[in-house]
Amino acid sequence: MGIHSANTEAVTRIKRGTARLTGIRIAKDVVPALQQGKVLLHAGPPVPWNNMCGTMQGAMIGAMLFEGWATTPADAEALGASGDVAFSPCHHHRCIGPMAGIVSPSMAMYVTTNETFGVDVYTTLNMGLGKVLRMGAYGPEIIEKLRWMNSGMAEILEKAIPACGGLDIKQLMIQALQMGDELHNRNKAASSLFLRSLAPFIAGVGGPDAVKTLAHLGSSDGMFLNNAMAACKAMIDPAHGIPDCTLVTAFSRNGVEFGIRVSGLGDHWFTAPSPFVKGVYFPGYGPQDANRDIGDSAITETCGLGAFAMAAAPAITQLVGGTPKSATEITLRMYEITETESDVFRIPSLDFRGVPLGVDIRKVIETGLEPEIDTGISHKQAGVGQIGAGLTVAPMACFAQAVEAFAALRGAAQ
Amino acid sequence: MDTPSQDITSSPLTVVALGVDMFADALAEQGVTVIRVDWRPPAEEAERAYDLLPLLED
Repeated sequence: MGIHSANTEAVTRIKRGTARLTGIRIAKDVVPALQQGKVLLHAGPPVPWNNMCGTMQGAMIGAMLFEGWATTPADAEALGASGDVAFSPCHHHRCIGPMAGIVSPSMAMYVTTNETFGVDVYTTLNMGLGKVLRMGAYGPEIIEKLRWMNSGMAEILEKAIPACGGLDIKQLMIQALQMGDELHNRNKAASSLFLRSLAPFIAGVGGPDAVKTLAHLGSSDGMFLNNAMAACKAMIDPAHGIPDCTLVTAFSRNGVEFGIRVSGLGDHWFTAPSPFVKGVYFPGYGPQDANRDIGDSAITETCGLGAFAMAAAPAITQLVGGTPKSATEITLRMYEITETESDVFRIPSLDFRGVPLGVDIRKVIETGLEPEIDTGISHKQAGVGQIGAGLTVAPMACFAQAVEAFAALRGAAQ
Repeated sequence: MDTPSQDITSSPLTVVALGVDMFADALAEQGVTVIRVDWRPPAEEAERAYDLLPLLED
């Protein structure tokens, strides 16, 4: 096909993609791998139990307790280390999750559909703020909340989402971007729009669980993150697997390694040590407490959002550091390493210019500019939670490996 | 054939600065026309990949 044509095809598919929230399904009913014995999915590239960071092991323990595979954290830890549980990246199963990103068989999943290409992507219901499973928390109150979310709340949403005809998540994100969100670290407007859209239909279902669901959905400005991530994966997955395409289709971190996937290089992960996030810490915490960058949430940057769209979210600098000017400079730098600009995700302060879209591994090497990521900072100990937010980069080593692999492929083909 | 030497101080200069902002700033402050190119040498871990880039052209 040629690289130019392949890259054009990829961004055309991304732009043509839709993202509609179409329902709620139980993970094991839609992810075949979760039907084969004890399997747990996680964020980032593959990582065995012994190499997992504290945050991820804690989240795994919580998921095993939730599933009833163990009755105490010590038993769950022993089970995790035993080899009797298989671990696999969310990305390999059309799933995606923030921070530890754990998916277990009994979890309720939002279904986000790219109707143009018939692709469904699954993500868990966001637990909200504080001590939550995705940060590695696994206390009894966490498990109790998980049980309610995956039963009472899921049943409410299972009725409310079809009642509203599904929700156009892509349109909601387009609006939120123009209201000051960047859809990764700042989802304040998007979370409000999401609640506003679903509230009448949740109320229509009625009952105490409906009231509790409304309260939960309104409890966090970051509630929409899971939905934004699923929408981005739904839009970008059809662009993966195009021969000769040099565009990145996933940035993802497991708390130990940062991995990228490239459209024309199959399902191989190109990895490097996951960097530490440089930013602003909540009172009482500092860099000595931080885990390395973790989560599938950098899928937003893969789609031109997050740090790539920081010029649209000047208020985020109060959380991550910097200034509105430096936020704009980040976006402007990212145009140098991308194939094109979005036709719908537009930045008001840049005269409604489209966000930079389609990271080209060649341009990263050529310019020396590493893609920037705007994200949260997790404590390195399981269960403490988020301790700050800031900026990091996708490591150059990942792109160097990818370019070398591409060159080898082309050399072998000639 | 020898190329005649030029006295670069007696004619208007336009300078292209590849990544060296401090030099560009100093020249601009002295009224010299400077074209800034945002360039940096490849990172050490990317040197081999940088040399392979011509293979990734159509």
